[in-house]
Amino acid sequence: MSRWYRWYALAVAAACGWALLTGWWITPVERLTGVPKSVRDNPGSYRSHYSSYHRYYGGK
Amino acid sequence: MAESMDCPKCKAPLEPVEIADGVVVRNCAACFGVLYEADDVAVPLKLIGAKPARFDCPRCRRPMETATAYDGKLEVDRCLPCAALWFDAGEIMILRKLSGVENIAGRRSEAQPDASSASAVPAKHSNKKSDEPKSILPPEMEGAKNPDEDRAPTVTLAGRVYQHFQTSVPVTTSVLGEFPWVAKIGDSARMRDFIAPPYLLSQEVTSTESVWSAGEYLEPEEVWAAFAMPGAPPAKIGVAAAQPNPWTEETPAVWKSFWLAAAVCVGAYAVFAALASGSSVYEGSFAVAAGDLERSRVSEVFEVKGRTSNLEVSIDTNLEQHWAYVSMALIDADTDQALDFGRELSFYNGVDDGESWSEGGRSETFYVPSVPAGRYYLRVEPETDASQLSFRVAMKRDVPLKRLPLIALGLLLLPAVWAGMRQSSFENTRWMESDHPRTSSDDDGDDE
Repeated sequence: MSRWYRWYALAVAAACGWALLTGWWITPVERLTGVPKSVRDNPGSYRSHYSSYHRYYGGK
Repeated sequence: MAESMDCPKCKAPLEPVEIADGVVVRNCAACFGVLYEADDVAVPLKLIGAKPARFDCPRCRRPMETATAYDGKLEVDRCLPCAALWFDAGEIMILRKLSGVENIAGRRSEAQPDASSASAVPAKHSNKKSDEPKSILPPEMEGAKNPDEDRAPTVTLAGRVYQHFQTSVPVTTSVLGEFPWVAKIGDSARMRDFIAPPYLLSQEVTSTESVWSAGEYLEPEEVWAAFAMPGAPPAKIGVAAAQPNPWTEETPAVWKSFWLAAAVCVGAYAVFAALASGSSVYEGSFAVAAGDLERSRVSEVFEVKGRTSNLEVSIDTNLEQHWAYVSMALIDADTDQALDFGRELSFYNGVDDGESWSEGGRSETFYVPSVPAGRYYLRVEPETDASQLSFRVAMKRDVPLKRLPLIALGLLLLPAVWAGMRQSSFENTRWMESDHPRTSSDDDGDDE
């Protein structure tokens, strides 16, 4: 197991370093392409991936 | 000592046995009691609290008396006229333990308690030479006479430290085969096992000798091959006393790798934290009202510099008894690419039965991962049930996350802990059969 663990530990440490280097995190972020250039002039021309969000009925 | 005697307790014939040079005791093969001449007991025995015994002296037939020694921990029957001591089965062991003297057969030294005292057994013999039982004890052995098994003593042989494993008193109940000694029903010995896996030391103490044996654990396959046995040996069951722990070398190696990798993770975090810019790249405020036909807003173009890294996004709202969902897109001003994300916020509070409560929060901080350098603008589109919503968005570049090394440590720790538990479990199984179980059980397991 020690040999397996050595490689595993190396992989975990490398992944940790890579995540710190690139700012990786598990937050879900949609990466989109083909966004129209006109969004700045007409913000309503872009619809968010999350725009179908339904009303929240929180509160006690 | 040729006269015939019967056991005062069970009436079986007492057999004379010479347990040391010139020291003859009388054993009962039925109940394992033994009759000593008082002078043949090498340890001091200050007997007090004498009261009539329930039986007579096997030699003179006169009533014996029962007295105690060592603060009542040892009860001995004695005959004052004959200067004889009767030990029930197990009492010799108790005497050994209490006195710390392994070989109790032999003449007492002059320094021992006054034999003329009223409470002491009078000496009958005075010219018997002191004698130690025959003992095979390597001169380099240390601690071999430590009588305190309860504290897990050790013995050292040739520089190797052996831990006490078990003490037992086996009794011969049947005999099968041939032996180079006279084997009798009722023969008993005191066995002490010490281990330093794969090595084992065993001490066998009888009334006449103390013999040490050294052994080494062999795998079943080795034994099978040595005797040219056909087939395969049966599967191992449990853990033998001296069986080497297969994880003894592996587990420390795993932990060594763990500490190295953990140091790399923590060190990497420290380096990135020290070098991280953490600079503010954007800060802006937005407001929407219920009557707005178009709620989406865009920011000015701002520049995100440096290597691909994360953005820390903070939203701070004016929510009060309302909810909001802020949909955001970080749009590259020079390409057609965007990062789309959103956050839900809500804040409610009140007082119920005199107790104030609150739920949710007005602000939140989260991270957008792996954002390349470039010129960006932010598009926000809030949804809310509030008539007025204003919020502030702030972005910081390159903020190392503490949770990354923590998660890495957790991932590293799980297999390492598992390896440690596996090694520990093996040892627990081994010692479970000993006098020193390592579990939480309060049972000492001392067989004495």
